[in-house]
Amino acid sequence: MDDHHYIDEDEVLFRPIYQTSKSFYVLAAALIAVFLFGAAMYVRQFIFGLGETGMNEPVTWGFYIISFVFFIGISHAGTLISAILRLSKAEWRRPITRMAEVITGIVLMIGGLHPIIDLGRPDRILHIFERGRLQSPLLWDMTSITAYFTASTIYLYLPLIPDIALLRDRGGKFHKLYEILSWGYQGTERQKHVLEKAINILMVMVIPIAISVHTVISWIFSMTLQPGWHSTIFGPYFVVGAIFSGIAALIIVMIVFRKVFHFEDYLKKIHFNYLGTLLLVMSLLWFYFTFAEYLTTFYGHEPSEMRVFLYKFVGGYAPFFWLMVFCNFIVPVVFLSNKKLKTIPGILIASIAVVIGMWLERLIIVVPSLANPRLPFITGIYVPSLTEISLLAAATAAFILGFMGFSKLFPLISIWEIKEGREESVRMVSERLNEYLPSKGHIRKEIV
Amino acid sequence: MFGKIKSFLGSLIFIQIILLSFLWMLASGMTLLLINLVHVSYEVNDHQTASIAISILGIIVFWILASILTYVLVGLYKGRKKEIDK
Repeated sequence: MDDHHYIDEDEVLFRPIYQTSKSFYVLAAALIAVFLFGAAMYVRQFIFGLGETGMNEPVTWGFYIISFVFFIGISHAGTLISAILRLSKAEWRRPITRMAEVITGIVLMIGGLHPIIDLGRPDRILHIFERGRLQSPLLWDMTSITAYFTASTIYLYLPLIPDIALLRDRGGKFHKLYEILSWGYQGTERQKHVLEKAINILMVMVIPIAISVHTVISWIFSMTLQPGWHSTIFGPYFVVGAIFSGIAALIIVMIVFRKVFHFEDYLKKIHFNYLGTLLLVMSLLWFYFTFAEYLTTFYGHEPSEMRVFLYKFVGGYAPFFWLMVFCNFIVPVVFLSNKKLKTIPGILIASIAVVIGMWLERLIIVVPSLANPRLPFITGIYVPSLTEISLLAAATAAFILGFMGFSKLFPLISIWEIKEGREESVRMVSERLNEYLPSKGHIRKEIV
Repeated sequence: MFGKIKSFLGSLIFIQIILLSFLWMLASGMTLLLINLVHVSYEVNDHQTASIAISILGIIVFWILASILTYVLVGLYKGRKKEIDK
């Protein structure tokens, strides 16, 4: 069947797959150039060693580990939001879940590569398989990230099957690929039941896996005795920060694709209002954890902890620290708690501020503690090199390219869930309301 | 006989089975890796309980994920067949 003659009521959702504008190619070319430059810098690092970076004693972790934690953090809201919204049967999730799940898949691949880049010699990764020690948080991390990536890929794929079947039935390009991936889906009752059951199991499974991933990443820091790292609050602090940055990234992605592909009918103001409220709540929660963490440190006044504390608050990293607070707390609270400013552009500004702020938070966590160890060294200096900066740019370009590539193959908004929402949602929601609201005939007699 | 084998090898279902088998290979690979790491932890006198607990959890998760995907793909195939029979 020729796709040009196939008109569906949700035709706009198919358009990105079948129509490609000139600006798509221009953007893709620019991003590929950035990516290739980063790849070339990596090859240079591979040849000349980690001396090409700004890492040195005592600051042995820099941009690569910061980006690793940052990208894995962003992955959280993907599967977590999609899973939690599905679990709570929030109807407004329908146009959001696909983009959230795609974010998770892409950033996990990008984030997972960063420790290998940080190794310098990538063949050293084989040591994990031969002589890894399971009592190390690094091994827990490897296991949990692999499990999370597998779970979230399956969680992306299963709800994608009905849409792949729609694409298969339309004919046109990639027909063979859609035939393979649709696995014969025809929308029969049995097939719908099987898919629904599997998605239900996965959405429950993926939540503890997602929480465990960032908790384990935090333990890479907090299980050491480095001042500023050895804290029991790190687990939940990292999870909250991850969800916070993930929601912000999701909002940015939604606003961009809404504008570019004209999804205004699907991604409405109400979706951004709800996500903006979630972002505000996470900002307040983040501030609470940050305040609790630093108050505890200050009250204890332990000398090596205070070196790190003062370095962040009034020392060399003070500009980054206060910029982080501005981006993560001031901007979101101002824009998201004020009705006049809580517009789509306002929510976009707050989200961009949060993404920047959360990257800075990772910087603030990683570098100051390493620069001020317990040993009697002077404060270490870390200045990122062009290699590290270009690899960060390449990672960002890879993220955008990944999304662009996905939009050429699969719908960015779940078409079958939108159709199901139109046909079934009103009935399903009123059935649920009838279950927990008192019936109309109920009369309460007041005894006077 | 050869014709049947050839048509099976070129068929859709064969490609789909190959794709599914990657997940089972991953689950098997992770199982072998984690067993090897438990063995290493025994050799170097590491904390056994943590190593075993993490391995058991990790292995179970991967096998459940592989099972879920197999259940779905077999279920979709069986659901399709019944529709054609009707």
